[in-house]
Amino acid sequence: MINSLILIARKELRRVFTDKRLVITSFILPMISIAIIYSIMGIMIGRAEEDIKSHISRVGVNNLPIMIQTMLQTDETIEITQVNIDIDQAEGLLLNGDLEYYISFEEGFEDKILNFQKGDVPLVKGMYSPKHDYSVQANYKLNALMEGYKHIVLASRLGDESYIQVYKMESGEIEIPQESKGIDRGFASMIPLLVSIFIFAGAMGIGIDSIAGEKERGTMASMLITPIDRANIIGGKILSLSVVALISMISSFIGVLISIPFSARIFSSTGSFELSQLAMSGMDLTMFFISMIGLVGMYVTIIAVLSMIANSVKEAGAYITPAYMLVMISGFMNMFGSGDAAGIFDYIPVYNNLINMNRILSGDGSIIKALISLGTSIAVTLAMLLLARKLMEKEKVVFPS
Amino acid sequence: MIKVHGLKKTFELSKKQMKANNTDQKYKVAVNGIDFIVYDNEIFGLLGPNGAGKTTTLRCLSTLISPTEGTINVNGYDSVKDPLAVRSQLAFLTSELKLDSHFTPDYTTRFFGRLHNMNDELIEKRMNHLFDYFGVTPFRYTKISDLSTGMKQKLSIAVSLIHDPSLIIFDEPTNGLDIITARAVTDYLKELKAQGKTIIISTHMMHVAEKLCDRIGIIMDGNIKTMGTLEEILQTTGKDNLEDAFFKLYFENEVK
Repeated sequence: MINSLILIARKELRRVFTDKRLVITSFILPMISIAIIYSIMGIMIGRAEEDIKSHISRVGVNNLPIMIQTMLQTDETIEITQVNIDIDQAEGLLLNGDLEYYISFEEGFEDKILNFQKGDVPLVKGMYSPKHDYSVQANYKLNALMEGYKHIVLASRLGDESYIQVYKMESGEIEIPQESKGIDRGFASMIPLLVSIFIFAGAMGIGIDSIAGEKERGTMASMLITPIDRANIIGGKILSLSVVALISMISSFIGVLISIPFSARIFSSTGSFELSQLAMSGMDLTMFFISMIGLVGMYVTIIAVLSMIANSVKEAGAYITPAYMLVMISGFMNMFGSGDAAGIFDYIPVYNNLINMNRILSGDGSIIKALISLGTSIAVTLAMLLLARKLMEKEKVVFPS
Repeated sequence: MIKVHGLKKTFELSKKQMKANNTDQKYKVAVNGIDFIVYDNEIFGLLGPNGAGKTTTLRCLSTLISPTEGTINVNGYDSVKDPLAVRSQLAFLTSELKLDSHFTPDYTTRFFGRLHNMNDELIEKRMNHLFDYFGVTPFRYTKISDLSTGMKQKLSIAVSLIHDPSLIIFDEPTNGLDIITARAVTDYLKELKAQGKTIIISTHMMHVAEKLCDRIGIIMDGNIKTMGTLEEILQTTGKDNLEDAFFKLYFENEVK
């Protein structure tokens, strides 16, 4: 039984690895395209951020007090381009992007500040366009500048600014032991999503061709008249598909690693990342592998079952697409999801594997939870294998014509 | 030897199929309780118009599909209870079974030999013999996708026979072949018969059946209308050639 299963698996792997087109489209192209796409994204995002930061904000003013004018002039990233314009003019300029911020001070603003009377607070109107990134950045700059001005005024008015200071706040980070530090938080939440999608995508293309494609072309029927158990035919295909999915996932992941020098700002919460941060202990690595293998088993068997039900490659694609969407949704839910006090998520197949990967990468991996997820993965995989075996016995499924 | 007793095969039609067949019947009886025996050292021909039940019968014999009723016994093995034993003894060739065009004849034949639990030495021996006979040897390492239609058909025959089966079921074996290749195939079937094999073929070509078959069964609407040697059929129908005999039975069936 094992011999024929391995024979089928070897034939399937030979089919994939001796087909240059399949090798390029399934392993090399995803790696290269992922490396290029993420690198370009990282470079573009970085450039956009730099551009916004270094951009000289064009500010329009009305009744600008001398002191604030001085402060504005000392900031090299701000330029006053419009003086004494009214609010209507400013709105038009902001809308067109010809102005990035407009600030208008009440008539006699400086006098009111200097001769402060209780309850007589002068009005300052600021305006920006949320539609333009430069304008949003200018809003931050001007708010910070006005906050600085406020502190100066209060300090001179009260003699000591600490009169209005209720407390001093000092926040610090606790020292985390090296072994439980985990990797960057951004990466820890992103990697499970990528791993999950890469495994499914890798198995999908080849799985559809190997099962629905063989049915459609009539090459599977040729094997059905040989003296091997039909369960071994699908078993061999599933085995080879698992290997393909793993290799495809690894190649795609290499693409991500290649892009890291440029794409770290996309993945990393701090904006920087070094490969050494991915280093994991032996136990963490084992738990991560268990979670990954669990996903491979479930995805490959689900793809196999859906491909078997389909009578053509086209039909299989239509059946598998919703499953792919669910895989992506579970990945994003894990990436942005919050806590699970009741621990119910630990028993939901697929999702629990993703949570565990996230935990392991964050330095909070638990062997018990990894085993629970392995248990649910095995249960789903076995159920799918049994279903696949049953389907192989159905005439309408294996030989629909 | 193969014994077929009360073979019946019914298909459940989908709504789409019911519409296409212009029927409100949910089930279609493709083969309606047929009986026949094919002996060793014999070529049995199954003749019939399209949709008569020939292919369904052959699919049941090859264990590709199961009978709804009745039994098929191949050399003492029941096709439903012991399908693996039956499959190990038969070769089935039909246009619906294809070989993966990505591989070479050499790899494909070895692969199927191994599926039949043959050792490499035996596979090599059988493969050399079959490839030489059917002229596949020069194309042994050529991708199947690059072979001509005739060469693909000859390769399919070689692959189906790699395990030296005792029962050979060929559905339209000479379909699409040129006259030379067709002759090579029919000659080989005669050689297999001489070796004591049990051979069943289905064909539309009356002259092939006349020349090749020891006995012929004519099937229409899932029932065997007549069965016997060529002489017996001609005598029963009062005709002097198989084609006329076939048409006589066909029109009689249409009238009914």
